[in-house]
Amino acid sequence: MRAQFFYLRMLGFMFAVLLSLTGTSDAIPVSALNLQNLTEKSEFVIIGRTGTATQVGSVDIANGPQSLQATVMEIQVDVVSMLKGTGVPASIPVRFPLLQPREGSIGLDGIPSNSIRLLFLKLSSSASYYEVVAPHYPSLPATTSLPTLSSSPVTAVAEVECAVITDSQSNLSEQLKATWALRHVDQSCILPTLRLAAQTSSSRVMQLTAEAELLSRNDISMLDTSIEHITTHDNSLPDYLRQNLLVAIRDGVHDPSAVASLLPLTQDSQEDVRIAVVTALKNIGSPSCIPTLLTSLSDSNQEVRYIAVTALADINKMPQLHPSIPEFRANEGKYTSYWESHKTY
Amino acid sequence: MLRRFGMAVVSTFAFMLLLSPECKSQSTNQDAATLLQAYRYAFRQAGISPTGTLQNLNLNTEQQAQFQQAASDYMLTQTRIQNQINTVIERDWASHPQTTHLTALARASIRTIFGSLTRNETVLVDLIHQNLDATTVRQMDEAVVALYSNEKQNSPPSGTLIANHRTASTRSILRFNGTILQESGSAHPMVAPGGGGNYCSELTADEEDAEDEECADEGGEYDLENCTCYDSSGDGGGGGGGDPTPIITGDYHDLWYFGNGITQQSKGATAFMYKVTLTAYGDGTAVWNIVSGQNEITLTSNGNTATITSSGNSFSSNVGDVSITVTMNGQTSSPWTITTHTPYRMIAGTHDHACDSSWGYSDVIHYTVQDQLNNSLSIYLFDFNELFTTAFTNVNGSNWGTPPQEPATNSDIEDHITGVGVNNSPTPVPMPVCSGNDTEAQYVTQQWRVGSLTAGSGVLLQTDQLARYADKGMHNNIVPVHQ
Repeated sequence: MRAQFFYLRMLGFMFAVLLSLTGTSDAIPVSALNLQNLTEKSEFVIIGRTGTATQVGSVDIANGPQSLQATVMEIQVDVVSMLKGTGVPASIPVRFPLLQPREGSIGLDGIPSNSIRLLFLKLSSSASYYEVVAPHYPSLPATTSLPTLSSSPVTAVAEVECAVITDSQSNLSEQLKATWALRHVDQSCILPTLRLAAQTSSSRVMQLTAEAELLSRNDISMLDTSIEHITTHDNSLPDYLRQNLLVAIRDGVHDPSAVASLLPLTQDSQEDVRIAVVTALKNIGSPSCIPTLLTSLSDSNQEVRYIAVTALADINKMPQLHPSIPEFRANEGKYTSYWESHKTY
Repeated sequence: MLRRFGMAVVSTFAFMLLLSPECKSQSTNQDAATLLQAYRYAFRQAGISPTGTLQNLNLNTEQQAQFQQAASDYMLTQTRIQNQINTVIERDWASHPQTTHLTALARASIRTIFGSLTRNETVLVDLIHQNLDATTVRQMDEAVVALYSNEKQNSPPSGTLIANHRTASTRSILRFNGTILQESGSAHPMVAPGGGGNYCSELTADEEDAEDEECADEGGEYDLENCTCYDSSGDGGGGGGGDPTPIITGDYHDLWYFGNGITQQSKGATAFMYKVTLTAYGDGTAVWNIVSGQNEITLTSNGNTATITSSGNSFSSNVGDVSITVTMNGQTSSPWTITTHTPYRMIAGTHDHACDSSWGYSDVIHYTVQDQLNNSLSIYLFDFNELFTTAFTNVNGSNWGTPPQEPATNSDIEDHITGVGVNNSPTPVPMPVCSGNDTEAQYVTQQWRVGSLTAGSGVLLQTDQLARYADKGMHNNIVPVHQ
């Protein structure tokens, strides 16, 4: 009898979890974190001190056309601060899925035990526990060293992550994850925090990461320093940090006042540097870039030449001279020769 | 802001006057709004019948070249702007996470900016006059205005065309039983004013005044209810007498291809257009013609309606390079242009590397996806999937297990790679760590496709070797499909 009751309860619990996860299943394949969406979807956003997680069940999570088996974990959380919602007890049970087999590459980070975390929650249908709103992002790093937070939940969430980045008590991983969590939001604390981290962090990884994030936001206050990092090959730093700086210049810089710093890099011996910089000049789209772009038409790398051609077409508002990639590869001369013969344009 | 843009038309011509004192006499003799309308009409006619139009204008060779260039620029610019407007208003406002929170005021402001973009044609009129002497400018203006006047003398098309409206911008539109049509001779329909909500009510009093002023400049009356400039003369861009010039209406100018048989993505993805439906209005039987871009599309005709889908074989080399007309009773419409797109390549983005207490490390490798025209797909949300085409190979005595292949919906491709659980039993070999041990544990051949959540379905963009090391995840030996 007791066993039957146990199984019934277990079945009920799994059904409830399944229902709750099914309710957010459209969010499961979306792996990019959007803090604003996450905050708005949450009934409660809290800063809490976590205990130790224990397994309380399992569930299959639909992920696109496939199904993945997940362990349901429960962790006790002592509420430190409320950023959104009211009426949450001082200590609450929180359940979250953790995919099995535990082979990694899953994208569900879970909720670390014995740490200060920012949690995005809703009350379960049974009202007996809280569950995470987005299985991929159940929690973010947090700190108790906080300034006075804004009354706007989204702004407050950003302020918490900003505080983590500059908190000397936070470790590097927490600072990095807080930095990445801020990618898709625009709040006033972010640029000053990133500038401070770029200039004063004790970790060079954090410094360069902050520089890249600034550039990706079209903040060029650290551009010259970043260029130095790109052109000075420091073997003590992982390659990906240099690549991240190049990507940030390539995709993020649109400020015409960056042109003077970027121009010398169009003659860099590294192709990836030239590609990134010519793309940035294209994005800047200033007529002052035209002479350099004309020079890049004779670059040894075809991608550089292609970007230069499309940049010249865009700047001169001649879309008929902006070819597709295969069209350019098939008829490159048609496009480069046009600009060669219109160098005084 | 509207007032400022409304005045931009006037200021362009004022600027033109300043360029050369000789221009002053001809320009003051010419009503600026009429001249602009005339050039707009002539540009579009040049797109339909270049030879005939240029002959009518009696221009010399050099003038013809200049006019033709300006006309081409005009058409392509309009297409590009309209495509952007369609993309943002028709699709992304409803689904993109960064736009779903726009306030009504922000949306109204964006619409206002879009309206201003469509007025770039004034710059082209300005450009065409530059470097020409005053006599030539006068001759060209008179020829263009004569061409337009001749068109205006023709009666509007018969049928159920119920009204002729003009937007507050310099573009003209027709209303046909409540549907927004393209102007006769125009290749591009205006986005319905207030589509998804009447934005006119969101105008400030100053903005309404500016609309009135601009509308009056064009000889019309501003209709606040419909948010349009009503052409009180009633002579707008109708077709000729007798058999009217047919009109094409349609829903989109962009067509996407994400792989054979794929006609929709998940509900979290942007609603990409897999088909464009065109409707012909006019007298007689509709005969659809693919003027250019035959290899890029399949056209299925059903009387006055045509459905256009991507051929899947060839895609636009330039914006708007597919051109479709309809002929009815010997009269041919202006072209409806389409740009065909397909995901084309992945561009390596950032690599995020962090320590993780559960997995040793947690890496995310990002890629931006571009279409064949080098446009980034990062403004959309799209489905993508990875497919492991071989079994995992463990090396260096590794006992790591096999991770699942996963699909996702996102605005870029992100591959999240971690080590195995550090507390696994038996103890992992090698033990995942944050850094300092670059021993390779396992690798597998991995393919990336865009357009579907089903592994192996969608447009293949890249093959690489997913390698998990003790202290990081990597994509090695990257082979793009299009080298």
